[in-house]
Amino acid sequence: MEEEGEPQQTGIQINLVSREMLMDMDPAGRIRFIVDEIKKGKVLVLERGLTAEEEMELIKMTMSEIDQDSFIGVETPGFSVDLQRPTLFQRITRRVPPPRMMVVGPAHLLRTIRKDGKMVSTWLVTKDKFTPAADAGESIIKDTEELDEGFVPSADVEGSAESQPKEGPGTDGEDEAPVPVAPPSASITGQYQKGNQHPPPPSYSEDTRTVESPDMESPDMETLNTASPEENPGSVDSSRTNAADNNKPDNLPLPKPPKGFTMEWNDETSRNAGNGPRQTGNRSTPTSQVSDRENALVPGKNGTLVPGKNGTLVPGKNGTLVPGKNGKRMPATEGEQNPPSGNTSADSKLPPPGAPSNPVEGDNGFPTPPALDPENKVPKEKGFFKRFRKKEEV
Amino acid sequence: MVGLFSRFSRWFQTIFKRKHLKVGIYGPPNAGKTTLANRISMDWLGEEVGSVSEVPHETREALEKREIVIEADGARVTFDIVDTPGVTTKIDYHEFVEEYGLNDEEGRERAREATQGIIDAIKWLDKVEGVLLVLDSTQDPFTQVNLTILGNLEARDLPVLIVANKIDRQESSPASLRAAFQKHTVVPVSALTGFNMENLYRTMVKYFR
Repeated sequence: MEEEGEPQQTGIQINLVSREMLMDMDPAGRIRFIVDEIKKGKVLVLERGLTAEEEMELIKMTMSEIDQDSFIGVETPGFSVDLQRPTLFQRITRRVPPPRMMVVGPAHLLRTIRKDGKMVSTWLVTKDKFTPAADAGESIIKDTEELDEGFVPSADVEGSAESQPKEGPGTDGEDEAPVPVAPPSASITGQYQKGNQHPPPPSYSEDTRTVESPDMESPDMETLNTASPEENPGSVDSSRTNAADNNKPDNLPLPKPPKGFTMEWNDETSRNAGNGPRQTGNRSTPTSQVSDRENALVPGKNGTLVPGKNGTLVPGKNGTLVPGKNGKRMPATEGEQNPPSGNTSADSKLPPPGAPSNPVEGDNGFPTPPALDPENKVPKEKGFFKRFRKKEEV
Repeated sequence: MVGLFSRFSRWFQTIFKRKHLKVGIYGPPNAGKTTLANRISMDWLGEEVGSVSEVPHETREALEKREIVIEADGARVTFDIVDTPGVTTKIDYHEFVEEYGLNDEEGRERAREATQGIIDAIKWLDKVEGVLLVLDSTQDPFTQVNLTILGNLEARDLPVLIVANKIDRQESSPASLRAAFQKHTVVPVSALTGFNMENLYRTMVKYFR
C-alpha cells in the first residue's frame, strides 16, 4: 500500500508468455487470451510469436473489440517469419518456419519505431497513476509526472540507465518521487518534442520512453525512413538479413554473459524457440544448471567418465567424446573420428538425473559406466527380451 | 476441403491459362488502393470505383468492379477488381478529429465503420484469386501490417503482385520495397498520374493469367 501523499508509481505490466503456455492453447483460444490481456493494458512478450494467419485473426478479433474510449487496437512488433527466404525443403513440403519472438501490446501504450530482421525497437508509453497488481510481475520503467509533450527518438540524448539523470528529459526536475531503477540492461534514449503526442486515452499520460538493448545506438529516424538499402542495409534488405541471421552483426555488441552462461538470444535461437521439441544446442541455459554441469562427468576414453569443463564435449580419439575448453568444440585432428552428428550437445551426453549410475570406480577414481557388450555396445537384456524373460519366469 | 478444391482449381486454371479472375486490391490505409482501382477502371471501363480522400479509411466497405478486360501483349484477361478497405491493427478516432478536422461524432462513426471494413476486407481474402498489394513507396516497407498481409497471402498461396505506389513523389523509394520483398514482383507506379500503368497492365496479364 502506498502512503498517503506519496506519488504513485507508474508503469506497464509486461508478461512474458512461454511457448509451452501458448502451444497448450488452440489458435482461437490463443488469440482470445492475447486480446483479453491487451485489453487489460498489459504488454505481452510471446516466446513463440504468431503466424501470419494468427496475426490476421488477431486483427479481426481486435477490430470487433475496439472501443474508442478504452481500446483502440494492438501493436505487434516482432521478428517476422516472412523475412526468411524458405529453403527448398520448406518449399517442397510447404513447412513454414515457426514464428519467432513477438511483443504484443495495446496500441496506445506500445509503438514500433524500428523493425528489421535483427532488432525491433519499441516505445513504451507509461501509464499515469498506475498501480500494479500485487500478484502480477511487472516491469516499471520510469515514474511519470504530468507530461504533455510527445517523445521522439533521437541520437542527441542517449546513455545507459545508470548514466541517465533520474528525471527524464522533458521533465521539470522537481520530481522527487522514488524513481524505480530501470533494468540494468536497458538504456533510455530520446527527447521530447511538441506536437508529436498520441491523443491521450482517459487516465493515461504522454510519457514515452524508448527501451533498447544495451550499447545499441538509437537510430536516426530520418535516415531510417529515407535511406536507400545501401545506406541502411539492416533495415530493408531481407536477403541480406536472412544471410546475416546466423551471424552477429559487428556493430551490435552483445552484453558479456556471466561465466558458464550460454547466451545466444539471436534470431536463430528465437526461431528454435517454437520449433517443436526443445533443442538444447543453442538455447539459453540457466546459470545454475550450467554450474552443476561444469563438474559433471562426461564419457572419456574406453567408456570411462571424466570430468567435463563447461559441460561441453569434443571429439576425441576412437570416436569418443572428451571435454573441451571454454565451451568450444575442437576440430577433429587427423586420425580422429567425429562424433555422431546431431547429438553432440552436453545435455544429450550427460547421464540423466534419475538414471541408475554405476558406482564402481575406475582406475582414475571416477566411476565407470555400465558394462557394455563388447560386440555391439548394447547392454544385455533390454526392452522386449527383458519383458519376455519376466513373463517366462512368471 | 474447400481450400484443396480452390488450390486444385487454381492449378487447373494455371495450366490452361485463366481468362477471368477476381483480384483484390489490398494494402494499408492511405496507400492509394482506391486511386489505383479508379485508374484501372477508368482506363478500361471509363467508370470510377470509389471516392478518394486524404483522410484515412475513406473506403470502409469493399467495392467490386466487374468485367474489366485488360489487353496487353496480345493477351486478354478479364478481371473483377475488388477495392478493399485499408488493413491496420488500430483505429483511433482522435486522428480523424485532430489531424483531419472531422468533428467528434464524425470521427467516431468513421472509426466504427472502418473496423467493420477491415473485417470485411479480411473475409474477402477467401473469395479472391489474386491480390494487388498496394504499398506506399514513400513509407517504410517493414511495417508489421505489410508483413502480416503478405505472410497471409503466402500462406493462402494466393498470387500477389506488389504495387509500389506514389512514385511521383520525390521522397518515394521503390527500390526499398524491391529490396524488402525480393521474393515478389514489385511494379512501381503512380496511380494518381498514371505513370508506368502500362507496365502494370502487362505484368498483371502475364502474372495472373
